[in-house]
Amino acid sequence: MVAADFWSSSHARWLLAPERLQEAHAQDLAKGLSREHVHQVKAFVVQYIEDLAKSSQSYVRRRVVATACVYLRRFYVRRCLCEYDPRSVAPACLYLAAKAEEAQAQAKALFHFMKKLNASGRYQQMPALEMKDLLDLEMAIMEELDFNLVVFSPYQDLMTFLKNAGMLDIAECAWAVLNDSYRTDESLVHPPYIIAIGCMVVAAALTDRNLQPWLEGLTCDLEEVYSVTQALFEMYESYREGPAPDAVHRYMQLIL
Amino acid sequence: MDQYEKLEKIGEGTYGKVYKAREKNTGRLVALKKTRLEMEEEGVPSTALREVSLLQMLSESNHVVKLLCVEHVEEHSKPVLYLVFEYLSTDLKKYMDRTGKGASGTPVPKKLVKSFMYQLVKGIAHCHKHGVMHRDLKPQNLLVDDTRECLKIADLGLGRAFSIPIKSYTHEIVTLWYRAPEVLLGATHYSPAVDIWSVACIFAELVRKVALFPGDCELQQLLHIFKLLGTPSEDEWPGVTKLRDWHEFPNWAPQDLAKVFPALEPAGVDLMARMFEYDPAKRISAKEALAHEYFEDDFEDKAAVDTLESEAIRVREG
Repeated sequence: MVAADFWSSSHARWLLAPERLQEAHAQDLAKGLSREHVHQVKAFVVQYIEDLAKSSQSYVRRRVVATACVYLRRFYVRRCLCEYDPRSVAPACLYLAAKAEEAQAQAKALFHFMKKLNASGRYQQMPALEMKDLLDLEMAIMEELDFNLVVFSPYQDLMTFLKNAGMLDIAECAWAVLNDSYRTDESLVHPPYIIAIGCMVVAAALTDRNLQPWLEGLTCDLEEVYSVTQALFEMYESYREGPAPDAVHRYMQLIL
Repeated sequence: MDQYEKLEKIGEGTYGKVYKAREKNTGRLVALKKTRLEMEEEGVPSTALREVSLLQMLSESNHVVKLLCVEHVEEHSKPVLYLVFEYLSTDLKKYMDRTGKGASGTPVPKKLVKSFMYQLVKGIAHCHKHGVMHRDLKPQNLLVDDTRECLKIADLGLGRAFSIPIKSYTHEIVTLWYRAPEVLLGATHYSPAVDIWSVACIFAELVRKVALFPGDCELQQLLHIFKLLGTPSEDEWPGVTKLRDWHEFPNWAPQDLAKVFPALEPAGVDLMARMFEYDPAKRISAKEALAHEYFEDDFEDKAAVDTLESEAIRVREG
């Protein structure tokens, strides 16, 4: 979405205190899932959104994927996995995000790519989705989000900062870290520019570059940046391979 | 939707009917904009989706109509979306007509012209600051509250980024009168400057009570503009002759706006001329317009308009 002023946006109003996330998924936990299980299920469907987008490159840009992931995370701040199957909510988020970002969004095309992707490999056990389900979910997501569909993406910030720090050579790595950041809840807690800087710190560490002098010249809260960095490292520790599909489907069976 | 009592149909929006209604438990009047959903095909129309998300971002300005909420209901077993807006009693077109149409009617008081212009420019500056162009500004899209004489921009963010609707929902031709010359000449990319041109046309109409450029086709619209402001040349507007729909026009000389608008103070004439700058790159921006001499004197309503502004905006924008 073309929009310049982050702090007056609904995105800024949607930023949550980290404690707020501790209250989420009460029903799922009551039904026997652990927080770790919940994380894995969500990380799995985020990856599904990415793979679905990748399989249909002409259909969606990275920005649409990022917006879809934020919708998904916001949706499950109050809703539980046992109420709405995230394996169906995920494609609906992608569909809605494509519309909101003024990208081409045809339900038929989305179904075509979903069918192809689910035909083999990792996503064979995904539950079937009907057109009516998709459109019902679209409405459910809009209502749950209170129709706040404008999402600011950190990608632009990331490129600006990399340029400013003279580190465009690690752009590819930092970009990949930012993509991976959507497997965490960080986008719910921190503004996009903090996430962008956090991803730069991780990318610099991975490529053995010294970002410290640049960081010290910033006026932003470095504590906040480091909390993003820490969450990203933890994410990399726990999902080297990405969440296992079998486990995810088993967790879902337990609560549905 | 049981909480609203529909009173009357007040218009046709771009994608559905608009009703005046009363919220039963508060008695508050609202405007309901109805959107049919094509559930079998593509769900919520992206235009509606866009209007909702843009308005949520812009509604905090006191000069943009407030979206109160969105209601999702079933009617005749079809899903319908209602956008619920604050209700304003009239629009600028009706407001101007009420005191006698055209030049023979009573003019809009000078102070009020300035106040309306200030509110309009402020509202547009707010939209542009958020990266949103209106693209279809006209007196009918400016809502006016009689009692407080406050003006708000409505019908925002319709159409896609690079297209202007030619026909509205009802297939009534969208008016060309407020359309910028770069759009009429077929520019494929355009900027927020298109809104400033429309603002200038509305300014002129407020002063004269007659539309300034009442063309009924693109060519005639351009001729109206050129006859008053002179035929543009490559010197004053580099690239104009390269635009898609440019061809040779008679070479008119610009008229003196001060003579065309004798009732308007010199500062007002100067502001209007800057808003009617042919080259979109040189046209005054909304933000610059707010700082223009025309708005410098402490006209009665300026302070009132500024205090009406929401706390959040005042704090942020000083």
